[in-house]
Amino acid sequence: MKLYEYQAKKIFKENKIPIPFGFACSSENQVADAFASLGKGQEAVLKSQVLVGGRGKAGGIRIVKSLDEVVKTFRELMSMSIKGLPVSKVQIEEKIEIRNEYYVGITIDPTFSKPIFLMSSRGGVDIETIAKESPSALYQYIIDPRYGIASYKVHNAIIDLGIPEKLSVQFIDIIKKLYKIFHNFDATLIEINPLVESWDGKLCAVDARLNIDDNALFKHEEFEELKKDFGENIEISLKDKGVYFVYLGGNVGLICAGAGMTMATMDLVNAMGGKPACFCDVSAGINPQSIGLALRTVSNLNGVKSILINMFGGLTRMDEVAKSFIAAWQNMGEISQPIVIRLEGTNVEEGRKIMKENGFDILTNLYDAVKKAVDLGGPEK
Amino acid sequence: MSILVDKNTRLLVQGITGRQGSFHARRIKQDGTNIVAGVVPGKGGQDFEGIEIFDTVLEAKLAKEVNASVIFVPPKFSSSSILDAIDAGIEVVVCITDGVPVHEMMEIKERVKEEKTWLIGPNTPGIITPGEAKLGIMAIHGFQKGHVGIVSRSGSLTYEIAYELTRAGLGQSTVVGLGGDSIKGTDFVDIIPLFENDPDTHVIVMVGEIGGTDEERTAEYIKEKCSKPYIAYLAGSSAPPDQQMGHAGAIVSQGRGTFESKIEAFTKAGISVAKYPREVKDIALDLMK
Repeated sequence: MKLYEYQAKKIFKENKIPIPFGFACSSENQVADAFASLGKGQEAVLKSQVLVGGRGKAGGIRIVKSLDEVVKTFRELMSMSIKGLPVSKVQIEEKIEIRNEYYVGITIDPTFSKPIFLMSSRGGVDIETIAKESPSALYQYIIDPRYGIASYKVHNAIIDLGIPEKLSVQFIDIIKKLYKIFHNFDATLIEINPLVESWDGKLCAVDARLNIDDNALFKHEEFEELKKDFGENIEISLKDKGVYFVYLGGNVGLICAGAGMTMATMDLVNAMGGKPACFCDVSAGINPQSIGLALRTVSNLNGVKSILINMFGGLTRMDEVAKSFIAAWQNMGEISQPIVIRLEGTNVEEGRKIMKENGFDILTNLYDAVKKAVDLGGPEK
Repeated sequence: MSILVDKNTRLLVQGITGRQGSFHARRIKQDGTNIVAGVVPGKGGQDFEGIEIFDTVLEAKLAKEVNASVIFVPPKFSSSSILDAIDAGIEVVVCITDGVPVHEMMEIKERVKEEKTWLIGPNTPGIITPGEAKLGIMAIHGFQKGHVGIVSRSGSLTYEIAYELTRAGLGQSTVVGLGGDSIKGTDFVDIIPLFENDPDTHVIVMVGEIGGTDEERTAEYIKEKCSKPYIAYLAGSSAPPDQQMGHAGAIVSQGRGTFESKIEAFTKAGISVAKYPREVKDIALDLMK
């Protein structure tokens, strides 16, 4: 689960990591009040809250000077969608005068199966770019999960990266707290980019990213409350109902079983000249409810011109899939797109019979099915 | 011959009375694997359809000469079940459970490195040596005894590929599902030496995904140490970066584990790369001529 910036900052604040003074707002009144509380003559930063990187470039972060401008910009931001995602709230903050920007983060390194600490003297740029363009400005160290982060390693990083020694106490303090949050909240990623040094020599977490391990959510009741803020988030609400969904934005809607199979189907659609509209995996539970939900969701996506259902039965029986599909179909209003169905594996002949009786042909060859769905999807616009 | 499991496997089922555990224990038994015990803490002394239940893995091992275990325990308790099996010194432990917290797996991985236990998974369909033993949830009829070794990060693609191989007359020595999580007990690089040394495995198929660096490390290993023919298929060429594709392991994050870097590593190591799942069978037929 990815947290919004304002949610991550709340946790930072509770753990005494310095953040800018600010508020998350969802109405014009709130944002106007918040602006007033920043103090007279103060410039403010308005930051759209979306769960995707690159919002700055997309115009989702603005600097404002007056109350009129605050309200006007707030309206603009709230009506934006960034990379297909709607803006849920706007964070208004005091503007920090930047002397230097740094990067600090902790994530899990799958090669060593341990946490990895990353730090750079070039903040404000994404970490891939730093790693590619100036690897010498990036310090990495694998953390032993049994002992946690060692202060001397952070100090080494400060020396290696040529960061002024007078900042070391603040750096060590912040990074120790970051690791504590990483560990206590079962995070898969915690990141401050940029960690800003202001002109008065203080470090401040101007941005905050915190991703929590979905498998560990049962340990953290505190996130139940946060989850409510994701009300309109389609991916999270579908996942709760056993449908693993990621929006991709193409013309061929997919409904598949199994993560690897879903990805392979996406790749095939792409290779044959279509664009997958989504990753949609229903293997967690194949029944009329989940198939119906998946069909409705995929059919309602913008730009979907054809729908491809692709399932291979190992343990899943194809007669069960066919029955679930027909039951879902009968409970559904009109679906405007053509549907291509590929079933293969356990009990496929029984499945074919059930589909046939209800007027659906099935294909067994994956490649024929993908080709047909791509052709029906028409040229990608 | 085969790897990890065979007709001498004496299997323990952890969580045998649960919904998943009981369903699959019946199927595993039906499919011909020798289940000698079950473990459910608090139910020691009872039995499950004639299979004796113990409170701990060690008790089961001492009483029934258990040498392998398959775990069907809910995520809340699965790390504890894994540790129970490792502490008892079980040789092969397969954790089917999907949803083990990654921070717990980091700690377990440290233990696994120190012990001789093979931990497969979590979040895996399991291992099968066709005709001899099944430690998992796969339907056996897509598999057949033969000489292709399969090791895979994806359950659903394993079915598709094994089914096509079987239909083309190419059976399998052993099929190992590594699981879809980012931190797993066993990686490709651990399994490859076993297949390389198994006289009954003539060609090895690796089914990978984007994310992580296991494929790259394995390609390096194969280039230096292996002589058998290898085929790789990789899913995720069209996945956008920073988006998790179902499996926790399948995510290109911070520029690591991209499709391109993996394909490049395979190609450099002389591994045949299948562009589509069905090409695996075509290449295998060619290699085994």
